[in-house]
Amino acid sequence: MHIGVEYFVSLSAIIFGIGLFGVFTRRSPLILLLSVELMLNACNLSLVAFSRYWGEQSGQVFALVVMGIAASEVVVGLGLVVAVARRKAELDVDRMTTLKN
Amino acid sequence: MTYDVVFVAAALLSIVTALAAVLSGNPFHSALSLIMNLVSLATMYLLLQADFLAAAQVIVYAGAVMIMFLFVIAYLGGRADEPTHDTPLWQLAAAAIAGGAIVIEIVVAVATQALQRHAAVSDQFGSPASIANGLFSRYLLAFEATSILLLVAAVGGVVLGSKKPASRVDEPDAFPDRARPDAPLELQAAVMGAETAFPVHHVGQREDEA
Amino acid sequence: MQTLSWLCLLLPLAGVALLALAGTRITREQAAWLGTGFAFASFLSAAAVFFQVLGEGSSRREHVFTLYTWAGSAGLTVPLSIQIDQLSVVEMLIVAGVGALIVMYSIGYMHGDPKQRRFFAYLDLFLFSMLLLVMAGNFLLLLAGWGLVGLSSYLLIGFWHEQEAPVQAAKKAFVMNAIGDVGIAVAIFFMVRDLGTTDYQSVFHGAAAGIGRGSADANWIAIGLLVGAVAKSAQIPLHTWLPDAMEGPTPVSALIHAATMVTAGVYLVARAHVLFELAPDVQRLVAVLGVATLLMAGVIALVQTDIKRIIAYSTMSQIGYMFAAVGTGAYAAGMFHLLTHAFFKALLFLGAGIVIHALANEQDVRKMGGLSKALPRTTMLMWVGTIALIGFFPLSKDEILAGDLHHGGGMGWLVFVGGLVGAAFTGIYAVRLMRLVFYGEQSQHVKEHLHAEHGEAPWTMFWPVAALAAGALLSGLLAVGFGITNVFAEFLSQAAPNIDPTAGEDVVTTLLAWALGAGGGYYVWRLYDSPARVVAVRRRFETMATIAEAKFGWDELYSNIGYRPAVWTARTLDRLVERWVIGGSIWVTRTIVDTVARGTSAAQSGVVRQYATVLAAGAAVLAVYFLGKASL
Repeated sequence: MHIGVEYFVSLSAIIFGIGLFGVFTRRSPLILLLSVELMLNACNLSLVAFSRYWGEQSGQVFALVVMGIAASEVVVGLGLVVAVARRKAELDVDRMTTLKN
Repeated sequence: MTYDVVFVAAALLSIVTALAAVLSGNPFHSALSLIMNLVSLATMYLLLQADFLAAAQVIVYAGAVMIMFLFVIAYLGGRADEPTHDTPLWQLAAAAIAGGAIVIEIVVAVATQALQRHAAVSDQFGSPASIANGLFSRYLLAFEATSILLLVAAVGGVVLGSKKPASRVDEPDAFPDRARPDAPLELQAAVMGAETAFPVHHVGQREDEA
Repeated sequence: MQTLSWLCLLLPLAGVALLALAGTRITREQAAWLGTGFAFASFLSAAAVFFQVLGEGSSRREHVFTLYTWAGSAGLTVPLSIQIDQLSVVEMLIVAGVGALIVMYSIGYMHGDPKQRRFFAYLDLFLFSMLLLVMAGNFLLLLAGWGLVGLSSYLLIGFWHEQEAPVQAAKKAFVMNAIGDVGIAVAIFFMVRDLGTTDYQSVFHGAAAGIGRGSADANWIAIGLLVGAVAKSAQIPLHTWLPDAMEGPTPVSALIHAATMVTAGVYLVARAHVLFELAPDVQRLVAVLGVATLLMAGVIALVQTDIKRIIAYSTMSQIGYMFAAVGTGAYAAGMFHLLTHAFFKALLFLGAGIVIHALANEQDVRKMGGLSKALPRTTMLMWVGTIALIGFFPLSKDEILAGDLHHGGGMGWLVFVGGLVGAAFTGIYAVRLMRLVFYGEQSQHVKEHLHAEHGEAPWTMFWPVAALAAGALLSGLLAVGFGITNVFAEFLSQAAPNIDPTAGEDVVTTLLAWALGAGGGYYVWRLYDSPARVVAVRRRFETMATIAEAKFGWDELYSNIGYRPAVWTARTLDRLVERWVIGGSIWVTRTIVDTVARGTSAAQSGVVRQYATVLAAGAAVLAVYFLGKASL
């Protein structure tokens, strides 16, 4: 059996799907952020896999950029979670509907 | 052979930890599972000859970013837990179908393509030197944009974290919608209007006063 | 000479910059003296330039100094150049000299005004603009100066902008002057098209060949310049701004609206006389407008009650004489009247300013009277101005009329007769002013407000007036009349030719004008002895007086043909187009957007997960689409 790029990409898709499922079902903003991290990492995996496939390093460079973006997202996301937690007792994304309408 | 074994093991581990991270009711367990997931993905990177990226994944991601997660979870304590009332079953099913659809589509897409190329690469592929070469020459703009994004995020995090909380639910609300001050409204509004540049909202008369 | 000329032009500008930049770091008194200092320095440079020009042989008195190319375009080069010749050097002396005296007078007049610094900056700005106008070496630079004096005039008329009237007057003056600017611009367009240059020298030398005598283009150029001249010099039909401009401070009235700016039109016609001689019809129009204005303004001046407006209408009338002169070819005579008029009219205005100053800003002559005891020196100086105005000495007006008598023909006689009638009017209104203000009973207002212990005026106000009086009399010696050698006309002869009357014509004209002026003056002096006779005379000329008090209805005419149609159009457009077309389209857009937004805002639940679901579902559907497309 030769482990080709399609295995890596399929694995990446599975992890992405799991993350997506988490985003759809979980209501705690923290777990939501974790799920998003999962999805970002799945994307990274396919980037790296295709990078190897083509023998071209751009994919790895952009995987690094995605890491930076994920880090920023975590900083702001966690900051928001903490700010919300300070004001309201319940951390439930379904009840944070201030931007409704 | 070793390659295949490592791949299968890492793949299984990553799927299991991903499921654990998403499904666990305890946020601590979720975060720890995610760390494991990241480590298994780092293994994948090694298999793909992305050595530098694998190291970065473990050190920066699993090390630094996830520690931040754990800090916040610890800070929030019990409130980080999932809200008590549960998601209805049909929603879970719909989410599974939506997520599954995308997974199946991608798998179908890669499976139906003849992805048989196996590019030959040198030993230097994925080394810090060659990554840095790409990062600081051809993709300098993306690199700078990312660094600015990180800076903005850092500033945003400081602002969000350092702002004095306006109020909590169990305290009297700082911006009342209905509750009115006891002092004569017109005078107070006039003083506020004179002392601040902000618009003053005039609240209608209470029925029992009218 | 080059350095001195540029100094003369740029010193006032340096004053403006200094006053503007210094701001409140200098006191008001320092600002006033600084402004005066720059004006006097400019005058000294002008005087030095004058003596250098005088010292040269009569053949080489024309200099063009170019700083650099100001604007260059295909086939057209406009240098930043000044031209120094007899004509411009005379104007430089008048502008800088009278200007410096009036700036000095302002020190006393504007004392205590909170905006004093700005006032002196404006005055210096005006001096710079006016010097640019008279020193410019080409028509484009002339237009720049022309526009700048319009601007500084606007700023100074509206100086007391806290009040309604000065603001309105400033706007009126600016709009009327803008019409004139357009006229000159049009003339310049024709010059560029026909001659490809705007330099004085090239235009004047090439005009006869390039444009042709009496051709349509020659007429258009002359008419364009005439529109500019008429607007700036307040001649019919663009004269209505000048009386209103008296809302500005009195030194401004003296400097801008009597001595310098309003005579720019005369200078323009004299400067561009080559172009006007190519269009004889337009030149005749200049003379006709001048005569019409001098008569009309003379009549209106008879019934005015505001001391400054009397002098303002007198100014219009006197500029009418100058226009009549340059319109019939007596350029040097027109310029000579411009020179003497600058002195005696500034003198009259500044004298009036002393009176107004002494009476707590009262300007109505009916509330004055008997001031000769309280203000003896002012009275004496005002008499000098009045004598000069009526034309006893200097004989600048008679110079014009004698020239036209010599000129002969229809135009000559029109100017001659009209000018003599105007001389009678001049005598009447000038003496009426003196009689009402300085003699007779002191009015209640005078008794209340005149404080003898204050003295007449501070020395900074008095001495400039005295200097102007001396200037008015001494300038008369430049052309004594009676056939005695006309030094002034000789000096100007190259830049602005003259019509030299014979000694006999000169004597006859002078005697006639003296008789008419003196007769009018004596008549009005006696008339105001008894109020009953004033009423009787007024009743006899009721119609004429009413027309004169309505200023011949020009304001109403412009209101009816310009202002009201514009307002009506604007209101109609507002009612129809603005409200229904524009407002309607906005309403329709708003309603559509509003309805759509209301409908779709229901989808905005605020639940983040819902958004994510929709996003993923969309991605899934798109993926199906692309997969299907790829496999087909």
